[in-house]
Amino acid sequence: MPIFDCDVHCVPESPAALFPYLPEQWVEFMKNTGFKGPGAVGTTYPSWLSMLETRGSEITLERVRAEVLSDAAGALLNCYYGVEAFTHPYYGPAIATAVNRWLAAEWLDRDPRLLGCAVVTPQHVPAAVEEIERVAEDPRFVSILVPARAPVPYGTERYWPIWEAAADKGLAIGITFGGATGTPPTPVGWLSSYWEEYVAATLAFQSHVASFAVCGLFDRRPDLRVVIHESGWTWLPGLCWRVDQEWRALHREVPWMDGAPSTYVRRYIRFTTQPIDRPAGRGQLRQVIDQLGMDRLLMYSSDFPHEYEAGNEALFGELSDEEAARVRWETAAECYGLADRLAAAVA
Amino acid sequence: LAIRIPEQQSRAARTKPGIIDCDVHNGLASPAALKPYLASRWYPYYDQGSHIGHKGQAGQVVGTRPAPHFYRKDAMPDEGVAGSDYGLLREQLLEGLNVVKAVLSPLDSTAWVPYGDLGAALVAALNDWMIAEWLDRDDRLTGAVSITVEDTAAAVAEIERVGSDARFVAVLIPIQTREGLGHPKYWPIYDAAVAHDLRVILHVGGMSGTHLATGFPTYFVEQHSGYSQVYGTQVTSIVYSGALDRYPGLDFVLEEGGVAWLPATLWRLDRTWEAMAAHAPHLERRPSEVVRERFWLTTQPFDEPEETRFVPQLLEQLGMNDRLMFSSDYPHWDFDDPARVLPVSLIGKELHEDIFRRNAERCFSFGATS
Repeated sequence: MPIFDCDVHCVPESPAALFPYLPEQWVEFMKNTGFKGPGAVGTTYPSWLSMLETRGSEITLERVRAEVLSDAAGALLNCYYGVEAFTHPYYGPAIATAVNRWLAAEWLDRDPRLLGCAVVTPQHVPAAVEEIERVAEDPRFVSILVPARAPVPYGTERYWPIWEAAADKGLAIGITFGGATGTPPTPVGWLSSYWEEYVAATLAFQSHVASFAVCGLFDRRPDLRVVIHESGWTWLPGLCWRVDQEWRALHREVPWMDGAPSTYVRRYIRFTTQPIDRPAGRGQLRQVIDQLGMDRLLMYSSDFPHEYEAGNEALFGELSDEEAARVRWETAAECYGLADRLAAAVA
Repeated sequence: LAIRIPEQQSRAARTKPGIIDCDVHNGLASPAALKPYLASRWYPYYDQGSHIGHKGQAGQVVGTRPAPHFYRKDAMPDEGVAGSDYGLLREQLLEGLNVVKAVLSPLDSTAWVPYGDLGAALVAALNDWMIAEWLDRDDRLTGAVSITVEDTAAAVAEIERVGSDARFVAVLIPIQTREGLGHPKYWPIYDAAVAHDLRVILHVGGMSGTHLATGFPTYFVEQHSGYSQVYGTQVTSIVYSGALDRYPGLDFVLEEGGVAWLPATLWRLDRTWEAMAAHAPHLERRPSEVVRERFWLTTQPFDEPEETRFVPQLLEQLGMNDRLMFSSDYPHWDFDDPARVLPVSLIGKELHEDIFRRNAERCFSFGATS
């Protein structure tokens, strides 16, 4: 069974790389303002931390071919570029469009095994919808991408036009690690270090999972898929138990739900495998997998070029052949429609 | 589906030889009940509602809640709010459930203005009310000291004023503070708590300016389950800060935060500690070891797995059988019944006795209660 890698990072080496894909007025604006690239990429993936370092100059197609596509039959590119941080309602979306055009021209055009996530601006809803309609013309885009950090959970109604536009075009909603929205990254504000923020980074994902599970969007759009990228994911059983328990007492508040929140998670939300916040105790990773009721929840990712110790090896050591095949390929194939999108490349 | 309600008598019998309840909420029957303990110069402010912190905008999802109030309906006395009538609390909790020691945390202060002279006067009045109307009445009752958490000097002064009364066993801090609880502004509170041999209880309440890692949610079901995020962040902040090294006698008790969020938080803390060792050299020990030595955890709301077989797994992953303590959250709507939660049939007699009595005896230095 082949492998599909659901989370491979790339990023323009410098803003100049985007110039060919930006309208002239914004190129000039970038030059005038001395734009050196989005700070959000550096605060999400600090250059001082080798585990997460994400440098455009070092992420080349040659390396992706050698280190990712050597094992995987296909890969999904995640070009996080901090577009959520731009309050400007025209400049921010123009940069998002440029990133997606750059991704298509510099990566997707050069290797048919590559598929893309299109970055969109959740803070500018109409522009995000327009960008979804534009990228959907290109079948190599199979998902949109927004960051985990957000001013309110993503099930909040203000975002629904974005998610429904994605559903209309058959695109998944990818939510990726980090982000920069100016709002505090923890429930008690700004802590003192990246170390603490990194530990707390799972919390924003938890907000979105709970929010999507109860908000009613899936009841309206059962064709929608949400993919959680780079979340650590072993927190999921505990979250499901808690939200399910609350829902049993509070279900009158969300009367559209036809089952417990965890049933929505299992139907509509998927998680990429790396990194894994692994239990220390013997046998406990298998316990977590059993607790997930993992039929089709996890999808393989290398998270290239991020370097985590032994997460995937430990996971696959716990899976039956049948489970491993689902994680390596089948779940992603269903989620992204790989049979159509990658058919030529895999054949 | 028929629901069987056990008889009061058999319920008490099932909780023999007596249990300790670490999270019980007594409260003011009405605002007027505080006035005998409050200097009259504060009445105009109090009567006008100036004491309501955040002006009632403490992150509640407006208009949706589990009931007309947050209480068990059967715990409402004839007059006043649930938890305000000692007689009813004694009947339903102490005698009804055979509770031999209870830790009272009145939550009034967690909604009050958390700094300033008015705030300080109010918590002093509340602590005096606690002594006169509760601790003096029944040997089974112990309490947590209410403080103005965002006003360190006043908080320390209040701990020094009442903290030597041995019936106070803890300091009460609302979980949603303006800064992470590792912030040095809070350290003098920890210093005072240690000096008076008080644990530090972290309980739902307060106002940080936000609610989740992603601002305010839409629904109460999200908001209430989201408290686990606040607890996870506070544990992280405290562990990173070095406060636990500075104050060797400092022990935190996590109350009403749930349980199931903690194992994965420990795994994340440990992975971060390993991956970023060069960037936090002051953290000499594995965070999970530190948490298991310095934090206690109460059971309610026990976020019960959908399959019973996962409960022992959860407890194993938590690795805190010697630090987990029963709490009912009486008289709140999501009260956990000790006759139903974590039954002997599921966790065995020894562990049941640890969770329902012996761990709390050690945590709060109660000595043997049976």
